[in-house]
Amino acid sequence: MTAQRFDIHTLAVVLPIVVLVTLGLTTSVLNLTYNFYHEEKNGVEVRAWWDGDHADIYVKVKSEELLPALVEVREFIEEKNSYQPTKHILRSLVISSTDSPLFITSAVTSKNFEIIVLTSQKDFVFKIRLR
Amino acid sequence: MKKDRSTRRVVGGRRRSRLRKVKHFLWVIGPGIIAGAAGNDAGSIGSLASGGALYGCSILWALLLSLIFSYFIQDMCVRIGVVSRKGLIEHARERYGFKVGFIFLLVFLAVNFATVIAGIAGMAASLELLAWVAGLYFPYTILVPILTFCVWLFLLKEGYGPIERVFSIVSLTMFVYVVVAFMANPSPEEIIRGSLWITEELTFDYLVYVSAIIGATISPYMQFYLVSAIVDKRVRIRDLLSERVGSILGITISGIQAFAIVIVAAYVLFPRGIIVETAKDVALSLVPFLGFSAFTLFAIGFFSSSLNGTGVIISSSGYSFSEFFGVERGLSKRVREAFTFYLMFTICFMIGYGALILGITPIQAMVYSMVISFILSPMVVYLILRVANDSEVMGKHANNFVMKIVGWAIFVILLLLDFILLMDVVITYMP
Repeated sequence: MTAQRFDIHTLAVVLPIVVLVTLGLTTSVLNLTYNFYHEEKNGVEVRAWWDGDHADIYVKVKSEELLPALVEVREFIEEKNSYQPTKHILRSLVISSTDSPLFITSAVTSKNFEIIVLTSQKDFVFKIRLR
Repeated sequence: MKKDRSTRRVVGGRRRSRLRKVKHFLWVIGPGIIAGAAGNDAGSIGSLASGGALYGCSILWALLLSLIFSYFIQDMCVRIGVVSRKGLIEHARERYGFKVGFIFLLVFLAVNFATVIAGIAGMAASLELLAWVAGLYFPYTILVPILTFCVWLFLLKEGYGPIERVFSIVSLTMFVYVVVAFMANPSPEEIIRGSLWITEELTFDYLVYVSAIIGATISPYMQFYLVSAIVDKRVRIRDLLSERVGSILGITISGIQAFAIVIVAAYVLFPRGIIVETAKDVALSLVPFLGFSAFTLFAIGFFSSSLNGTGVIISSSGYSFSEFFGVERGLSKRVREAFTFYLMFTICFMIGYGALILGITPIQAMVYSMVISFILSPMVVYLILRVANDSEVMGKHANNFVMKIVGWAIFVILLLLDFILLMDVVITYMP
């Protein structure tokens, strides 16, 4: 039964897509694992990585004294040669706990942007240029 | 006592017979519903929403016109499939010879390859957003290969019946667009006025969007899929009426959904001057104005549209390629029985996914798909008309005088609109 199912025709159809999907998946995993931005400034950690057609951003505030913190996402607009607030903000960008980091997806569609973390003590600016 | 039993048996028999008839009717109408709903694929949603965002309800008449065109074209396709029992590519080869038929096939496959890129990307993008709403993180670049493989495996492993059932249900889930449209609180008078009168000045830019909306609703792969699926199911002539009803139902369902998408854009994006290019942009733009529930519903609809569109495009590629070479085809066949069909089907998936790996964005793919579609659409309608008008092939089911006039009028209008779109592409993309 098994031999009948996996004849040469089935193999010719199955093998190419399995190889392509495996290669693609491996490349994506490797890219997401190793090709990302990571910086920490006085207890504020920012990670960002390019996810196909948009950036995914992770912001964590590690010090209780800096809470609550407000996050701003600004995208570089070439025509205006300046950073402008991004249009697609899906949720509140307030971080109120050290245990729950902020995760932002699909807000930025260019690889050049900045994250500003506004706290009661100090403002932190992270300039990000993804590859 | 005996009388009671026999009466019960008769009533039970009648019920069973009625149930059988209903089941048979549902079986027959499947291809029409799926083909109709597939018109609202990921790329089409982008065109419909950008038209609504730029021109509000004043673009609705174009959508209504395209739906009327679709009724006529799909009806001819249904009759061709049921009566001639041959796919459109097979007719093209028989009428115009191997070379012309082959060019026709290549252009058709090029449209499908470009459209499937947007479909795969749409599925992954919508699922990423939905997962994110649920508090989960599934990166888009990981979802693309996983979804490609899952959809490919589902189409390969399941027979025609389960695939049709799943896609029919998926088509119905797209009604979430209607719910979102109601959330936008539209004005019925404005919708009726926009649907029945041309309230905007007919500028070149406006006509480009009119053409894009008509092009988005009448996609060539819908017609190819419809004819091939009917042939594959071996629908008999006595079921022709039910099949025609199925086609009307499919276009009505897809039309309601398309109207809802334009209305959402007209009432949420148009007043605020928000310009969108893709369905993902629309979903994201809804959050500040209609809230998370509207965003989630739109994302569900976007996923269903992308899944349905991808399935239909992939299947129609496999059908057309096999039809052209006269080999076995069909989703109910095993791989070794319909090797060419499944090979083309797999190649289509590989090209779609491969293009995304190479960095072609869904927007680029949409533009390529639209450009090639402009060239193909009038050719397809011409072929459909020639076959449907031919009484030698169609017998008493050939187009009557009125249908011929309407058919040629649709062809001329499509040709004119295609010319406008091609002019726009030349102006926009030529250095």
